[in-house]
Amino acid sequence: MNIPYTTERRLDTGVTNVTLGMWLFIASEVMLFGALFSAYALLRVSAVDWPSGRAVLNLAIGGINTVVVLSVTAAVWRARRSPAAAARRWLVIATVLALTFLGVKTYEYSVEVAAGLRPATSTFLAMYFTLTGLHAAHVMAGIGANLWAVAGSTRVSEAMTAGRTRSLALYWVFVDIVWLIIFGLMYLL
Amino acid sequence: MSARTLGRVALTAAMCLFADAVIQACPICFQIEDAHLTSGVRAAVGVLMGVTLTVLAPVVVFAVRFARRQKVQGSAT
Repeated sequence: MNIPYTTERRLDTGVTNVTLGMWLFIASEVMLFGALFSAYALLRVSAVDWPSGRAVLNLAIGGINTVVVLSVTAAVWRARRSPAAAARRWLVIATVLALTFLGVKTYEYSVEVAAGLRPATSTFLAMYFTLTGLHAAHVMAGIGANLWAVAGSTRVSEAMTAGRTRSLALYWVFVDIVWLIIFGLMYLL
Repeated sequence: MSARTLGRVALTAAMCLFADAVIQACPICFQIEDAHLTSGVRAAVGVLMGVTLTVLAPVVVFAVRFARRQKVQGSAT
């Protein structure tokens, strides 16, 4: 079955169905994280005592992960503007960088848990593990999507792969923005 | 209206008219407006409204543009 408007733009929406679907997905994800940020605001403002993220968490590791996740988006954005073979290469690079992000995050979690910093320790840490854990789940989903696009690029047309890469670029920008907000709220404030 | 329903309505009306103000108070702040929790709820509602409006604004823009494009397409055919 041929699904219409996967590669060509619809005249009425101005975008392909793939891009429109990705925008709708991102809108639902914004609401998901929005609810969590709202919970963060409630807990933080109503708390009598709230620790500084700089004192509890490792700012250097958080900073490294910020650079890594920004590099992932840069690589996917590069793939978006490259011909098929180069796009595949950039997607693989982005996937390796995303795996690095998860590796660093896992190390950070293990150090924190070893130091007795668990979700049950305080409201701050419960919020930290919830937000960063959900973000890490999105990075994992992004890795899966990257690999799916790379694997599919040999089976589908170049235009289809280009459309998938464009949508992936949108997704990774969203993942980046969420991380920057989390980094600001949990590590810096 | 049955006697049972009538009784419920009468009881609710009596509570609204004669009950102490605290019973009718907001279950979050209990009329203590300068409490930490009250400020927290205000902040949370503010954030959620901000996020919701940020999502809804592009949806409205898209709907308007979609309608315009459809009109242009309709007049072209």
